Amino acid sequence: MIELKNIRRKFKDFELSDISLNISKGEYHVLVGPSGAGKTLLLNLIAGFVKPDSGRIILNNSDITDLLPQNRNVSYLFQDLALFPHLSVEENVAFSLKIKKMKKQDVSAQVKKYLEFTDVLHLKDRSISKLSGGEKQRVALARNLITESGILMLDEPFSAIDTQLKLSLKKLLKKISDYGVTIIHVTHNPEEAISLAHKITVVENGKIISSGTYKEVFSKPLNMFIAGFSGYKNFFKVNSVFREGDSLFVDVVIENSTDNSVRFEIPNKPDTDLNSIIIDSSNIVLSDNKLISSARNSYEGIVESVFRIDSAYDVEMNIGIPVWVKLTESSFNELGIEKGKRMWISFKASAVSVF
Amino acid sequence: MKFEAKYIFLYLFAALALLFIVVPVINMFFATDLDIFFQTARDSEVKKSIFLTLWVSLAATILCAAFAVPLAYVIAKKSFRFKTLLLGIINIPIVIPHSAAGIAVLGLVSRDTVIGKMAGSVGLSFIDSPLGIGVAMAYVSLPFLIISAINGFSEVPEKLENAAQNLGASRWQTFFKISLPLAKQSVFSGLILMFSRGISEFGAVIMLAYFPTITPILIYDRFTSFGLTYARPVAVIFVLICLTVFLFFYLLTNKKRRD
Repeated sequence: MIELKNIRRKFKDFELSDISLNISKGEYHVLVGPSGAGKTLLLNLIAGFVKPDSGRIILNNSDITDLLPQNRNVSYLFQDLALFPHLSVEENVAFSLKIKKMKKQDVSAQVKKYLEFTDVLHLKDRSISKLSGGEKQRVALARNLITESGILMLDEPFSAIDTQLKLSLKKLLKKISDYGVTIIHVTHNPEEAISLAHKITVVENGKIISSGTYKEVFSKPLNMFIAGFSGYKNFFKVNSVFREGDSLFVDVVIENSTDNSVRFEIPNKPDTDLNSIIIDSSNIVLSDNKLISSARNSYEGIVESVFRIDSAYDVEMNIGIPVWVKLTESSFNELGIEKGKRMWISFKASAVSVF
Repeated sequence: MKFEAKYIFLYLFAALALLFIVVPVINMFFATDLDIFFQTARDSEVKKSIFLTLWVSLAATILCAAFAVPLAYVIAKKSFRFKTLLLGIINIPIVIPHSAAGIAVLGLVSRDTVIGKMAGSVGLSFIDSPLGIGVAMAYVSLPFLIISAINGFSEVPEKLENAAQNLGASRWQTFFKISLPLAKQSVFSGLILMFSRGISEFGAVIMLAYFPTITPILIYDRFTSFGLTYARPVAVIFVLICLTVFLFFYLLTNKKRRD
């Protein structure tokens, strides 16, 4: 349905490079990444508000790269919705049909159909300024859906509404997706869209880091951003690898930093490309003194911070790099953990997953 | 507003500024001889002059709007080199003396210039004609319209224009259905400002057309020929008309804002 081929766009202080992406008809595709990653820029490229320096955009087998925005027929729900403040709800929704000079009674019928679909028919005659955030969102969706373009791009649709409304919007998006509309949903928080997504693409620093199904993307995290959403806090980049007898060691650093590397022993495996490691925080033992045990990794550090999460505790230990340890409430109380205390962490080589 | 003693000097200065504006006008009203006032109001020369002033300024404003509004849109929406310089150029008629502005326009449209000759060949003249009056009025008052419209268009979010295009609107449709309706308040204020500035113009118009006589020139003419007593009633009538027009437009704009 929509294909991005080697898109490149350079700005003064940002570059979108080598973006290639295939989105099939009827797919719910979530573009996820931290703020400033270039996600919205991708939508603007598809919509035609920004021209790529190179690369092509193909929609339904035709090249739309050089088409004007009004000729692309790609529906775009802007983050701030961009409802026209001088027009009523009905006039907003009817806008695209009136532009096409559609007959008056046909326009009314279509407007009614889509306002009903998004559950806001009763607001037909309201002025935009009299709508709540959730109502605005539904009116904007109706205005987009009425174009029947078959493709809907959403820029952070959950950002402007409160938690209660999120669920009902989610249901509505699911309904739209079930009707076969191809959806490209941009968000910095994948949790809100993961239940809807057929496919996920992770964008960071203007590049596609990973793309595929939820399982494909999140079971093997390629960076801290993805690891964070998979619930992994101890994600480290491998700087160097070396063997000593039967043991395999890595020097690791936290992502985007080169100082403070720490050496870990990891499971001995045949030579492969080692890019990053994850240590499950529940497999790390925290103790007052160095343990004599089978754990191959023992490090002394300082308690940096403590967070209570439900009935457990996340303790951040600084051993040169920050390592998170998950503790039960009783262990936490028994150890008398407090900020600044010197303690030891230990974990087996097998607690380390390598990628 | 609560009166606060510590602001007494502030209020005093503010009151002085206000009095400076209001007192001469009120004094002019009270100093006018009623008999001469009514006599002047019936004077056909005065009536003709007021009518001429109003319609020429209105025509100049409407004609100029056709060019000024698109120019304001381009300046507000596009970024290009020398934009600041262009804004400075637009302000030239405001910052130069109006008689000098009149001389400048005259140099361009007098009968022996290319434009003057071209106009002459189709039976038009800029000198001593409503056309010349309109050109002089427009030259000095156009910046008010352009600047007000630029401010209006700048405040229309680009997102709304993008949304319109995304919904299939061409650039023209976007301009007429989104940008212009959203900026109409400022454009309308600009039109009122230009019109008001046009009807009060003296310096530039007198260089191009002493006749037919617009009211500001008629007031001057009555003053130099017959003195203050006979000039004042014309001034009072004209001020009343200006204030009525201004009040009418002001209420109209505010009604639009409330709607």
